[in-house]
Amino acid sequence: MKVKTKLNNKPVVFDIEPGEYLLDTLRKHPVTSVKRGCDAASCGVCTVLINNEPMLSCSLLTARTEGKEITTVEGIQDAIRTFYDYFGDEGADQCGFCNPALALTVYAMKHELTNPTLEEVREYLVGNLCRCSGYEAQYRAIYKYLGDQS
Amino acid sequence: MNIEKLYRASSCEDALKTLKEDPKNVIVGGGTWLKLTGREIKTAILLDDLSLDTISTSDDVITIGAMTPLHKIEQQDELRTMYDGLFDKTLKQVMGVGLRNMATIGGTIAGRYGFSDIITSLLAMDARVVFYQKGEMQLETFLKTRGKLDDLLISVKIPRREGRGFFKKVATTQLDFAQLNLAITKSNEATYIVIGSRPGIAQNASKAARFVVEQKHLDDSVIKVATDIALNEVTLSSNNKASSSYRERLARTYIERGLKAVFNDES
Ligand SMILES: Cc1cc2nc3c(=O)[nH]c(=O)nc-3n(C[C@H](O)[C@H](O)[C@H](O)COP(=O)(O)OP(=O)(O)OC[C@H]3O[C@@H](n4cnc5c(N)ncnc54)[C@H](O)[C@@H]3O)c2cc1C
Ligand code: FES
Ligand code: FES
Repeated sequence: MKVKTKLNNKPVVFDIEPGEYLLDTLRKHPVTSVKRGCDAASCGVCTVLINNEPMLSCSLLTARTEGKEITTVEGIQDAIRTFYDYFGDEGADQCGFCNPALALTVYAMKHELTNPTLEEVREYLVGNLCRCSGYEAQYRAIYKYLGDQS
Repeated sequence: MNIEKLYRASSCEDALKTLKEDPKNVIVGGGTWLKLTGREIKTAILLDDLSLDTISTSDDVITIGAMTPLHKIEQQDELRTMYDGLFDKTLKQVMGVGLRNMATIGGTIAGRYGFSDIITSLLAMDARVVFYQKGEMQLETFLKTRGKLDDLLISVKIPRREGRGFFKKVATTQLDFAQLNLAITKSNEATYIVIGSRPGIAQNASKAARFVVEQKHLDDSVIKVATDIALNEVTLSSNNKASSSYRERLARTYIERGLKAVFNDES
């Protein structure tokens, strides 16, 4: 079946199986920044934005993106370049596997929450697991980034 | 899940008709739980075009459409603050925003999950559910039904009440299912003590709540008797998350804290 959407601001038509999930479709297109961790809606590394809202592409049927806008980290390069500098400054990067999903979630949070507290930031990012960093450096980087941007 | 065919229903009637055509046809809410079950599905029925994702308010109830994602409910002002923010606290403890932007309130209720935190709080808010065919009923009545749900859930209704509330989820990590969850509410209309993830589905400790309401003061001895009554009417069992005796310790601790929080203004 055919599904018409926009991927990173460009119109695309996906030719998919009915039970196909967005993560698999994106890999064919070929977006490799979107990772597969648990494949069970639990780790967050497959996060993409659908109409600017974070969703888990491993569990989202591609057919449901008809007429919607899909954003992956390739589509927000300008917006996140500064964000990555803050990550570098705090040493919040290790293997980087979780970074694209985290960047997209922070991007959505920045648009959704006004002057969030550190607690609210933590709460928003709770579904984005990272196996390397221990989170503290990430939170420091994100909180500073948001503070400087506001 | 393995899906043979996807079908976008054009009306509730159309969705229900398609559901009844084959036992392997299913309604898809957010699809998050269905994916985990890996079920073989003949026709997956999408409700995306039926405008069931809105929240509306009348004089006495807030109506949440079945397809409303959980995160959208967190953004509704009244629901966010009602019963000391009980529902908001509950929703925010269900995974992350990514999941809550997909999982729907309809899929949450229709699933009748034993571990559900959300069902516990909905019971404590005296929620009612509206089905396309069976019509409106108390959530509690629906939860007692068994077997395949051969109906379409349209909405959930929450009475607009002023009151106090307490919610507690105990889990080994923030993203895990609860070993026990508990919601207590008190309004002019009613008092509820609800225990969930027992590990069976959430249950009202209605005799305990009635006992509490009949007392003039809430002191330690009243709380002790109320807790004993609650643990007599609500069964706690063991599973791989917790033993029944551990669940009992948790229930005793948090019923006491919860009652004090909503009746005495202490937490
Ligand atoms: C990884 C993971 C962790 C979770 N952790 C928690 C937790 O800690 N606490 C908690 O409370 N919840 C938790 N949940 C459950 C979550 O909150 C949702 O309730 C659940 O995922 C179902 O939402 P859904 O809309 O995606 O349902 P779906 O997967 O779409 O559907 C679930 C069931 O409901 C049926 N259904 C859906 N909508 C309707 C309708 N309108 N009418 C009739 N039938 C319908 C479907 O046919 C299916 O049988 C978790 C879920 C996942 C996937
Ligand atoms: S791959 Fe883990 S949430 Fe999707
Ligand atoms: S940096 Fe390795 S998973 Fe987060």
